[in-house]
Amino acid sequence: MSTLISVDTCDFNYLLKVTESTKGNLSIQLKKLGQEKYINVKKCFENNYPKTRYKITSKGVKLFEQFFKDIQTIKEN
Amino acid sequence: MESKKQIEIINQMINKTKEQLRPFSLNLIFWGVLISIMSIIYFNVLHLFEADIYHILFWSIIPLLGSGFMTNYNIKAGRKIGYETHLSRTIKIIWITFGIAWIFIILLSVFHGFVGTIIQFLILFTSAICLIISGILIKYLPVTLGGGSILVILTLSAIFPEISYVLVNLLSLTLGFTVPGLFLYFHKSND
Repeated sequence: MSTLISVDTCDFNYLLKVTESTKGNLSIQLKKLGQEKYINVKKCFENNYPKTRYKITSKGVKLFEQFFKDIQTIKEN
Repeated sequence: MESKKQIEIINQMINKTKEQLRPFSLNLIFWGVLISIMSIIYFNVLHLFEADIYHILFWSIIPLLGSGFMTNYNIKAGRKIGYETHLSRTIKIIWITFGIAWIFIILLSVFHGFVGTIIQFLILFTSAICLIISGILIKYLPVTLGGGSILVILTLSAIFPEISYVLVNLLSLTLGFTVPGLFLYFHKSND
């Protein structure tokens, strides 16, 4: 979510690189975020290869901001 | 997990996304060099043709081909990078708007018979504004100054109308596009 909030859109391979996660783990996390409408998932083909692009939704931004405020409050206390 | 550790992870993730300015710098260099070469060719050969249609075709077909080439390059570069930041999206929108304005100016010149100097003024003025905005957005002074230098050259060409508008084109494109593009390419591409 931190990566998605700092970009407009990004693809699966980029998320895989920055999160240093496994394909399976990352795809499950992204699927859950997509189901909750925190991110938009767009599947397309580029040069006959499937490509998935992700974009954070306004609902996702609000949730992330709230999460960030909460952990800052916890840290301050 | 501790809240401090969580904030650290969020910071690390955000910092991993770097602004990729190399494609933008290559766009500036490409357009600066292309239009400068076109100006030299025009100055030496094409101005001999009297019919306006040759001039309009020269100044519209080659830039259109250039636009096609650079659009293809930008799409491929975007795919290779794998992400698009909010800033690069904003800059993309600014230059797409410039492209639309350019088409609009060319069409107006065809239908209303604008003379070369007016078309040139409108296109250079619009490009200068786009450069200034882009420079401010990416916080890179040479690009902003490049846009400013085009405005200065346009002002000088209005005060001294005897200055050849091919020379105005050459100077504007070199100072406004090629030089800031090279600065950006060598100094900020990997920031």
